Amino acid sequence: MKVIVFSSNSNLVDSIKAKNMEVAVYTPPQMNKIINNSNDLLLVYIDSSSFNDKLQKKISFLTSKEKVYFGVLDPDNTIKDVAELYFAGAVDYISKNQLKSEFNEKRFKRVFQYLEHFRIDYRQEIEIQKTITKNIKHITAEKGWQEIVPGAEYTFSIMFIELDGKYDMEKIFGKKNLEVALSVFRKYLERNISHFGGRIWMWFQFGGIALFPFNGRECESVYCGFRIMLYKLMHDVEESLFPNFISFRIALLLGNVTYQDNDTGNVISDSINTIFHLGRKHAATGNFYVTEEILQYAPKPLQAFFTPADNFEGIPIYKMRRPVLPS
Amino acid sequence: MRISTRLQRLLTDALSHSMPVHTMIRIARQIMQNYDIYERSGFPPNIPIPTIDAARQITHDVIEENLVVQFVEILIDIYENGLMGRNISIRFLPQIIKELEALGLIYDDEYKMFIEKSDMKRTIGWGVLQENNIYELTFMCIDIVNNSELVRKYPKKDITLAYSDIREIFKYNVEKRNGRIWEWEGDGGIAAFYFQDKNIKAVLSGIDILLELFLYNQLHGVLDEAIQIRLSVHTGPCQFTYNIQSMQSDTIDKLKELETKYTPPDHLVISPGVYYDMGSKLEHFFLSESIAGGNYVYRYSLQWEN
Repeated sequence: MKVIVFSSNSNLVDSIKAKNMEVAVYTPPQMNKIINNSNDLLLVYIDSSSFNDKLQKKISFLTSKEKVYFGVLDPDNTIKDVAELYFAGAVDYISKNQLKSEFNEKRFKRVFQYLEHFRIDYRQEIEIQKTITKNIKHITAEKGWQEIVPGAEYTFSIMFIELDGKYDMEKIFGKKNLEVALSVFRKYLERNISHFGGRIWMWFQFGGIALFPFNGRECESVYCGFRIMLYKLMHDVEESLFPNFISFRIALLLGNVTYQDNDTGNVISDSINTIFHLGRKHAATGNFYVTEEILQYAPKPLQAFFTPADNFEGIPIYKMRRPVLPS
Repeated sequence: MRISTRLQRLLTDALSHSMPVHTMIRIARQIMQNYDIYERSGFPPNIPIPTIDAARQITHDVIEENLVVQFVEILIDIYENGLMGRNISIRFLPQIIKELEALGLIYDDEYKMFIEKSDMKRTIGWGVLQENNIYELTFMCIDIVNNSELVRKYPKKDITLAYSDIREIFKYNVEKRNGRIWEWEGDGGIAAFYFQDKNIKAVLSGIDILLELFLYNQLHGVLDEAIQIRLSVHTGPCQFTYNIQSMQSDTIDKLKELETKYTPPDHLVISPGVYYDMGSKLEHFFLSESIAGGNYVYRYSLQWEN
């Protein structure tokens, strides 16, 4: 977990004591950019004296961010009701007197311990990171689906696909029209996915999760996602019942899943959690993301169409360059 | 088309059991203008022709004129929609349709006509076009760029394999949308499209071919370099003949001119007549370019974001 301090007060910055821990310091105007571009777990301290009347607004901003935990530094003891900070989601408060002696490594570790014990969201994030960073042993299925037995664990290419803008669709198109248009969209996906040996495993109105058994040598799923993106505009014109050009996100990773034929609603899987996080929270609209690991198993010529797209929860990910209409 | 005695008998029975003579004549005139049953049959005009004789004569003439398929299409239309506001139940119609199916045709509800079954041998006229008749058709031309250089540069077996792959991509994407390849000359060819939405189908085939070729070059190409093609699409009238080599057509000449003069490698260029049918989504695929005489052509190529 990274520690970041936002302050324009040089005295305060000098008072930070953390020899064995990296603490980054930025000025208040840099805050939004730094936070928005980060995918790491962050412990953020904001200096109330550097933000003045913008403090409340910045607290609201930090509260809205996942994987960001924050404390408030109060070098002038201006905060009258400290409890209000905790009600707003703060995990630490350091007053004028404490700043001199307690703003140090020991304090940070105590905050981490508090998060570990009392914040379930923090524990979940840590679990996800552990899962991702540890080397998952591949459990291959050489013969594909005919080898897959329900109840056993296998390595799959796990593909998340979901239409963008789902919240407004029913209002715009009407319930019945939307149902028909969505079924056409699903058929487009099914046709492409099954062509590459995959199956839609879970479906939720606007998208779903598809699984492709992994043979240990190559991942056709990357080619599948590439084709879905390449032919998207053709689908828009020739098949899609949506009156506009549609947009969807695809995320793809290699992960282990205990396969089950039905009752997929109760699946507990770190890989599935991760793909949901990547697809729903990280992926930008209209884009196709793959992990660095799965990209290595893609056909070499296609790898050149993917560019690094920073890290997601500690794992390097790549984004596909998309075909576009002329402008 | 060889018409069986059974189909001939069914047509005669369908007419004689379903309608009076004057209705039969009205239907016959829909495909044979100024049809005069008295002149054809030799019956004196002042004597009413018996129903069965009229039915036999019309059936005979329809077969002679090679218009059986079109005649049955009219019968189906009358069965479904009536004639002059009156419902007419055509007897033996299912049996007649079955007979035509045995000849390799299938009735397409969308086009309201018989077309060749997809699993049967495809003919360049879809089993529908008549020799020497003029039809509005849409054509697509494909040409492999730098053919001579490629042939000089690579071994014959590699070129043969590569060009055969390109032909397969062309053929598959044309026939997928019910087009027909009319000509293939080693390094390129011409395809034709008929029926509803022929312009859109030709253009979609063209775009599909460019996408498929892109994947082919990336993943399956047998040469050390990417094969490039030029595609053009144009629509217009054409007098049909089964001997394609002897066909004279301004539309096809214009198509070739589009391809050679205005189409850069890896592009699809379409004429204005085709572009105007593209619709609100497909028109966004094209950029217009002015050419001589104040005219325009419209270009598509696969483009990637930066």
